[in-house]
Amino acid sequence: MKLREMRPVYVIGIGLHRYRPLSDTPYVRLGLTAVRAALDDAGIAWRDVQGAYTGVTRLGMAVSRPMLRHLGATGIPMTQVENASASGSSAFRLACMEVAAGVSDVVLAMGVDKPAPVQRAESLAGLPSLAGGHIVPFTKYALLADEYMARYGASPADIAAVAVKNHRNGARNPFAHRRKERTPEEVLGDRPIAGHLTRLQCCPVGEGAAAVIVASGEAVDRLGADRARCVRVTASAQRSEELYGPKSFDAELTRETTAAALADAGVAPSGVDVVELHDAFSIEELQYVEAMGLCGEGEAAGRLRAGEFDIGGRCAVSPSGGLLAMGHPVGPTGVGQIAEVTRQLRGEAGDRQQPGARTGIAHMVGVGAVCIVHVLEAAVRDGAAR
Amino acid sequence: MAEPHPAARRAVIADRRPSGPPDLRGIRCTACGRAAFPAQDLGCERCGADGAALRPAALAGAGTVSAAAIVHRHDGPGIGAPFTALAIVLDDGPFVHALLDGDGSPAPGTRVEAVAAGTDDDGGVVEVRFALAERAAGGAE
Ligand SMILES: [Zn+2]
Repeated sequence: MKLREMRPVYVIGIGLHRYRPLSDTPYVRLGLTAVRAALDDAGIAWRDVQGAYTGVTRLGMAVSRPMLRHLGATGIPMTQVENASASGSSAFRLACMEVAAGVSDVVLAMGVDKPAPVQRAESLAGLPSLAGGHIVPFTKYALLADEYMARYGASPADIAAVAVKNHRNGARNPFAHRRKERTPEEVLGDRPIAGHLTRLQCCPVGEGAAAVIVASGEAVDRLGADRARCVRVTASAQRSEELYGPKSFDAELTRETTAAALADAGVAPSGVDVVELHDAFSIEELQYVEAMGLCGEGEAAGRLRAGEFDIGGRCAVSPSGGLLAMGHPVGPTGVGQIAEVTRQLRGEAGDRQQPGARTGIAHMVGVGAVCIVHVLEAAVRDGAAR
Repeated sequence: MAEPHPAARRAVIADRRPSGPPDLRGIRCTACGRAAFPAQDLGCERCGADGAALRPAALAGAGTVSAAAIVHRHDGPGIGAPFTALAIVLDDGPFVHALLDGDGSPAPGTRVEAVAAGTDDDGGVVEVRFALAERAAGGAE
């Protein structure tokens, strides 16, 4: 069953702790900052929340309660969710499902994380590989960049332009890890990492927290939340990798999952005003906007150069700064995307507001590989939520 | 059953041949025909057949580069940089990531062949890299 055919689900509150480099601050304080901000934003109390999902990858077992007990022990269900980079997106999806199904009326989806060593389960599969530990995410995306440039005649500057745009957006986001505009020369001339990717074209992985509160329409009315600020979640799609041969599995997964989400929401790619996507590496944005159908294959660099994906352009891509500038603390990242899309659809994004934004999507891929896409729609202007 | 020692697992990467590039030790699924690397009996990624349905298959150590990237820095323990990573479509079908035996960044479409870059005490191949086809052929003389 499609989410849109179930009980309507609304984002009623958002909150963040700034993404930043690793500090001595315990994760509990990071997480509580985000949750309290989300409760304040929704205008509700912790005792109104009936369930909690926490996206987290590197903090060890049983993260939620040592944090959330400081809001008052209400006995609600608490569950950790791990899905690699998409952990926060999965936490949000589960919260939406729980409300849509009528199990709960008000649910918290949050993410909190801090850098720490992590083991990938795939390395425990007992299978040999030709390159082993030499191939890490930035290697894989450097290879994809090389293939993309050869196929479409794109230049290193075309790929670096993604980072220039997203650093510019991040400079306007008080919650961003990187808050500095960068020139094309700075991006291209930064420390080389792999292939044509420089350090400023690779996302910073630090600490942070993000929280959103989702609620049913009945709860919105009962709690007296402002309908005009409630953003409806009209689709939730999640898929895992199939066999794509030498094609970029992340792009193919993105193609399938975004198509499914937009079909469920009844929205055409041309109807999307705001996109937050998984730009952990600059090349990804060019591949994903094409895979999403926001432009044709091989057109992304030209469209980007023409300003179509800028704030104020045809469709603002990563107005938060994306993973490249807002950052990628992993557990919170997917939830932070929902917070940004919600802010945009409310018209509350200040100097990074996409004018007239009505429909937004949030997209994450994660190691595995998995892909999750959500579609959100603004409340209608007369104040009645859709 | 105990997991094989990592060195033993790596030793199954390739079989030497009297001449030419070593074969990669892969499998072919007797249920659906899919060729895959590395060898395993856990199950076919296309159809799910497992165990004896997955027959060992020698995959030619030859293919075509689809992408290359010089890695300038790497934090992995014991991994020196720079080195060149390759994405290769093997002639027998599977798509693999491997390392270039040499410098530079070969263009997509470049032909490459496997070379045994390391062997264990018994002469088993423990590391396979790929070299430009003309160079690998020359080196085999
Ligand atoms: Zn099969």
